[in-house]
Amino acid sequence: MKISAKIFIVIGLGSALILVVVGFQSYNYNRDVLEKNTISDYERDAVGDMEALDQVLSEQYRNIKLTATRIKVRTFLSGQNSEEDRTVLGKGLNDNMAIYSGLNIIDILDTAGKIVASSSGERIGGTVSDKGEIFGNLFERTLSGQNGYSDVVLSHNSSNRMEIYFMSPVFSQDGQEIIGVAAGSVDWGASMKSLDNINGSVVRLYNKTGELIGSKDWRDEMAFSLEDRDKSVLGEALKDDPRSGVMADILNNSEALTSIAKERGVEDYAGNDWVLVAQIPSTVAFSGAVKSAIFLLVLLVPVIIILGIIIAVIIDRFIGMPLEFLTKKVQGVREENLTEIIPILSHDEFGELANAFNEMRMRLRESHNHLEEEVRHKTAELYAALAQSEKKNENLENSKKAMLNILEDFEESKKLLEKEKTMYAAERDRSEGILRYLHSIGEGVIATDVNGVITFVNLTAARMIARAEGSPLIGKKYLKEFVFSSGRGSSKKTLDPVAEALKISSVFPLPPYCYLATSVGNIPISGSFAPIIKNEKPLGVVSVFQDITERYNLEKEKDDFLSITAHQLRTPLTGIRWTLESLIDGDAGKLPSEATEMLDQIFKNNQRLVTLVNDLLDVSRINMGKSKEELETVDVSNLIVESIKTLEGLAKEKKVKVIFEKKCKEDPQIRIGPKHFFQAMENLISNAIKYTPVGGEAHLSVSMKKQKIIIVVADNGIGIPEKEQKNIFRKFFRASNAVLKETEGSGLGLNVVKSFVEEGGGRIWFESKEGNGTTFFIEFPVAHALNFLIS
Amino acid sequence: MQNVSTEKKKVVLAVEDDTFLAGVHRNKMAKEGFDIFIAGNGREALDFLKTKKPDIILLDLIMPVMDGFETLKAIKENPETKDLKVVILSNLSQEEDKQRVMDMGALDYIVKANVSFREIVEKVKSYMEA
Repeated sequence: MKISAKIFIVIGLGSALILVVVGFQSYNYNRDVLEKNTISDYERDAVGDMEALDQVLSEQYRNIKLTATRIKVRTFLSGQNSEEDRTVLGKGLNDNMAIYSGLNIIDILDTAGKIVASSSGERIGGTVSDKGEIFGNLFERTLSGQNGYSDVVLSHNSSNRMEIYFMSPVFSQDGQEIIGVAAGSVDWGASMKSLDNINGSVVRLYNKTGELIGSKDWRDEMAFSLEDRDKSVLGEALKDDPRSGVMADILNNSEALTSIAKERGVEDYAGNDWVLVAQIPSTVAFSGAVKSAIFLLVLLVPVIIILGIIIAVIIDRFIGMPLEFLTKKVQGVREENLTEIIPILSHDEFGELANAFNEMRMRLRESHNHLEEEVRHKTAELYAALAQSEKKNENLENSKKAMLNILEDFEESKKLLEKEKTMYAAERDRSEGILRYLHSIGEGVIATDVNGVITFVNLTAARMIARAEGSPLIGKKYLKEFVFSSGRGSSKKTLDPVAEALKISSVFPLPPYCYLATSVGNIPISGSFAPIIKNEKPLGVVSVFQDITERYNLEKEKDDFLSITAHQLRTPLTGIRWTLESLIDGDAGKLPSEATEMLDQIFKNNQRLVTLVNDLLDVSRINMGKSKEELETVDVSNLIVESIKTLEGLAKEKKVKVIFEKKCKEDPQIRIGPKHFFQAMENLISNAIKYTPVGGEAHLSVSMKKQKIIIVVADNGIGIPEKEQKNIFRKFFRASNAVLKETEGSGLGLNVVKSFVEEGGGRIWFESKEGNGTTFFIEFPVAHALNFLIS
Repeated sequence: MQNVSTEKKKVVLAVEDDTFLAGVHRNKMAKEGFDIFIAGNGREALDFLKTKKPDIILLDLIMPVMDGFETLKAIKENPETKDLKVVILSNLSQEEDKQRVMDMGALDYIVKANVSFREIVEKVKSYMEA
């Protein structure tokens, strides 16, 4: 774009901007002036208006004061008040009112507050109390000797008009005492006529408590509310000196302009501090400002446009044309024409510029020649330097090789390090994985150090004792958080399985009927505690346990079922047994010996059924783990002797000798359920008796060997066929030769023995040869090493 | 053996719902010289105890109307009957049941099917003398 075009645009834009700014400023200025003028106009009107109002009211006030001093009134109140006097006085008062327009009524009251004369005859006899509190207060004040007047009040007459009361005391002739009161009420509506003079759309009058007491539009009704938009202005006005008129702010630029004046009072009528508020729409107030701004713009626009064009033409003539000429000449330099001289056309800045160009062109030509020579010289030097650097390169090559070797070594160690790092990360991932597994598994897992302080709790374990996360438990004593107990009711004991596991240095299984205290009470659990051992030293204990409530309940159901079933089976068996006994005893008379024999057979078969029920019950309960008995420390020898005693009858019957021998000095003790141990021994001994021929012997012994107790039950009976030996601990299994020898037997006895022995941590095995007898071996760990329970 | 004809007969109350077994009780106990009374369930037994205090009570556990556990509890809770001797005679054989009634104050627990009636009589006699 040409410079001249740019100049035109800039000047055009500048002119437009100036127009806008001038227009705006003109509007603002005019608006301010108008606003001030309008407000001061209104203020003047309002102040004048209030003065007129004050004037009217002060006149009424003076009228009442005059009435109070009239001789007629004084004499009337002094006592000579015949009915005729009253009428005369009333008429006089009425005449007074005609003179001072605006008064509604004039009453004369005695000191008791009773109307004794009035401009309106029907009011006579009324009292102060009829006229409301404001009237009453004013009356009281007047009785103390002061003149007074009220604010605008709603009349107590039925007229519902607004009034102002004026009162003045009536003194006796000697002026020593007050003998009554002259009271008048002013018609407020009529007094407000002066508001008509104000040229506002809204003109309102407020008293100092903010109640609206009058308006240009209406005069007779009282609206006890203050319009919101006047509140702030009024608030400010009331703060000011009550004697001065107040100029108000603009409340809302778009709507109204408000001006305020205050009552100033006249002489002793000081006024009620009423405030007058007048408003006009701002559009009306400011229309002049818009008009004058538009007028200014209409005048300015053509002037500025013409001025702009003139300036643009002048600038183009003095700057644009010489520039164009110079530009063409300088373009010649670019085309390598270094010899042409630019002609000088004027002697101003453009002439100097052309001069400078000519000089620059000469210099350029000189330096061009000089540069060519320099280039030739430098090229020669470069060739010499190249030859030298060839040599240096060789040395560098050698150093580089050495460097590479070092680098290679470095790379190798770096790789080694990387590998170690990867291994470490994998290891860490693996441990984290294991921790996650531990947290996720359905069994409770806790770990403690050797002092029983918790080092790990998985989520399941934490939830069992109603904890949200495992972490708050860590560092606490496990015994306080996880309360394990065994047994119920009176036999309940608290356990310290961590201590037990550390004591025996091996896995400590929780005993049967073990409970964990939780927020929902004790829940049955199973599980074990195992010492964590590193380099033969215990580091702590880890435990896995499981809530077995469901299994426990199921077992209980099954157990109850079995128990009742056994009960139901036994009841008829009992009846049969007892009746058979009775028959055999001869309760029904003496029976033939054949009959007795037959009854014996029935009796035996009945007994088989009883035994079968008992054994079935035992086996079922063992299978369910239900028949587990609380472990106790028992003396082995004592229990063996006792079980032999209970079988003395059988031994005598079978003519088998039972011999017991204790082969150690100490009394060997083991931990086992005593009843179960007793039953196991009974089963073994009765088997030994039953399957040994008449005159045979059964040998029992107990011995100790390296913390183990060994019980041996040996007979020289029929033995067990080799083929069948592997089956003898199976349920319902009976060896073929045993069935022949002894028809009775359920095949459950040895199965029960094995279960009971294992329950006490023992094991059982045997040696036998058919026809040569059988020897059972039972091995138990010694009790003192296994003192599990704490009391 | 004591002379039953000259001394006042000892009173036995058998609480047994099975009529067959109750019959055996009646015959055998009478033959042994006891004054035997039968109650068909716990409620009847408690009613009986209001009128007479037996020397021993043989109490079954599984019974209709009121079972042996409840009956034993009622006997032991009533100050008038709490010192009466009670022997449990039942065909239940669970350790828990046995433990429960022994804790409640029963003298003994006999599984009926496992003993002859003669043994019961011996026990009754020994408890009466005790």
